[in-house]
Amino acid sequence: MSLQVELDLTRGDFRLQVELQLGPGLTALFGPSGCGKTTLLQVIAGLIQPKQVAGELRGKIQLGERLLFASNQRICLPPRERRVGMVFQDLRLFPHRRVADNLLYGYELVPEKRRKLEPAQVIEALELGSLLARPATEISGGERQRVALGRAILAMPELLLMDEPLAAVDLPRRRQILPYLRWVQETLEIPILYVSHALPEILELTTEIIVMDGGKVVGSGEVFETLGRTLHGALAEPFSTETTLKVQVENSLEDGSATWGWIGGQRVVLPFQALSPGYLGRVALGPEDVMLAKSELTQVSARNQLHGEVVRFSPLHGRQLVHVRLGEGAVVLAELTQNAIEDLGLELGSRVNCVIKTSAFRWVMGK
Amino acid sequence: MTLVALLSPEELSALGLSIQVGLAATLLSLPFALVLAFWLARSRSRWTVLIDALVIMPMILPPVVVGYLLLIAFGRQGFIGAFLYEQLGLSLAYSWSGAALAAGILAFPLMVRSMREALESVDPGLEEAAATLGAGRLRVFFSISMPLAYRGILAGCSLAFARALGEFGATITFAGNLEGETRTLPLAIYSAMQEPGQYPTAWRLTCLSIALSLTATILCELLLRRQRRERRR
Repeated sequence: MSLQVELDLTRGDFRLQVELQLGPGLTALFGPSGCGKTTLLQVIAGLIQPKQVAGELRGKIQLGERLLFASNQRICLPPRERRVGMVFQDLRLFPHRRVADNLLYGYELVPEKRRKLEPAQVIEALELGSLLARPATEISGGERQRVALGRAILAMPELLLMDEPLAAVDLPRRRQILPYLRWVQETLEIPILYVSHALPEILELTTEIIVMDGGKVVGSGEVFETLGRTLHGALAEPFSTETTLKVQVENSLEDGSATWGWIGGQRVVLPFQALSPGYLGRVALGPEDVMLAKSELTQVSARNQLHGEVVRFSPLHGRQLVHVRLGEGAVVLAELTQNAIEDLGLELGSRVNCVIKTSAFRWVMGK
Repeated sequence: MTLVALLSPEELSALGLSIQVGLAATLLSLPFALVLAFWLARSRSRWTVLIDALVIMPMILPPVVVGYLLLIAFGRQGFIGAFLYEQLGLSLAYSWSGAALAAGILAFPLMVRSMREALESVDPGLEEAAATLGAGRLRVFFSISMPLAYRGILAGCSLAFARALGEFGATITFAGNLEGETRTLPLAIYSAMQEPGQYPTAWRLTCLSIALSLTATILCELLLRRQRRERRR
């Protein structure tokens, strides 16, 4: 299944001109607020129809073999016939129905031969079993997200649009839905367009990104490459390039001074967190807090020196991000100036030490 | 029961007829009012202004005018009435169903107004979500909009019922004042006042009218309060 979009929408003095193609898998849609991301999703889902626009909407939307919209052929399917699932920013669970009824609302309208997933399968994967009989208004924020996600995929969409589904949830909880999202991505072979402002979130889900600005697609492709090319002007608003790393806890010192753990097969000292040995957690690390050295430093205050190999360089808004692979799939990003890179003679494959202070790591709670 | 025992057979018949006409008028208006209220609540068409004004008309016009217009349209010589009589043998003028039609038309604006308010309080985003899940308009309406607005819809019904109970002018013009057929409470009160010595009757029926309307409006107010509370959640 693939999606092709060519749109030209004029509404007042706002103009949305978009051409894009999506294959199966998750693509992130990134851009400043007001750039037209939500409008684009609404047009694709059919929630904005040409006759409702005080202006003009032209173009073509094709999903697989099916034309959802073609202004020159006067084709415009209503939302219910588009098979485009949507997870809204405000989730929009039906407040008067139980969780189970919410989940099955779309599923029950799908003809049997198109039902590729079983409700039981989704309920198990999204861990919703214990919530089924509860009213949709009486579950927590994270649970509501999972119900909204489950409800959308049980309607057997051929395209899934997600409009910042994590925006309404506080930061520590955001992370909890990511594993479920990965499951959706692996289980459904459909294009997923995921609007997000948060780069860490995007980096955990995908390597493909589309960047929009001022109603236009200004770049698409691999995350770092695309951001490097497009981050300028209005898009240069602050955003985080923080990455997260998996940690296995070795032990937490009883005096509360530090926690020992393993990242990418190497031993690290982290800020104290009362966790039991063997616990699998995550720490966040900003690239500006990572120093690179060509050899082991002695007599240095920073407690961690992680050995790795430079696997890529990505220019980002006048800076250089150096990607260092530690082992076991762990990658640390370090921000360096072009000058420093040249002085050290860094190139792909260079062996380096990432010098990181204990306090630069921040524990990320949740899954 | 004691209250009923106090009433004469004529008064009882007026009470029964009033309730019958009121219920019929409410049920008759309900489907039309629902469709119209939903359209007014959701449509962005510029015609809503005109339709809105037309819906309120029966509330503003003198009821006698409405009754007269009904007589012209639905009387046996009327362009609709003649058709109904010839094809179906139906005669609305001077019958209780005619009284129900008149009361329904007079109660219609109130019904549409409160239903519209209730439907406007339902988040259109929920209807959109249902549409992306594959639901057509009718299904969205019956599974999302109506259940979320049902208290306001019921409030509209009870208000319309109360209004229908009090209908006088259009009823007497179009359906006449026939005992046992179209003489509802207000008409019975009016008749009692025309005859000397019938003041006690007029009084009893007046108290009955007050009790009935008060019950219906209190019910309506309770429902509306709960609907508003629901919306705030």
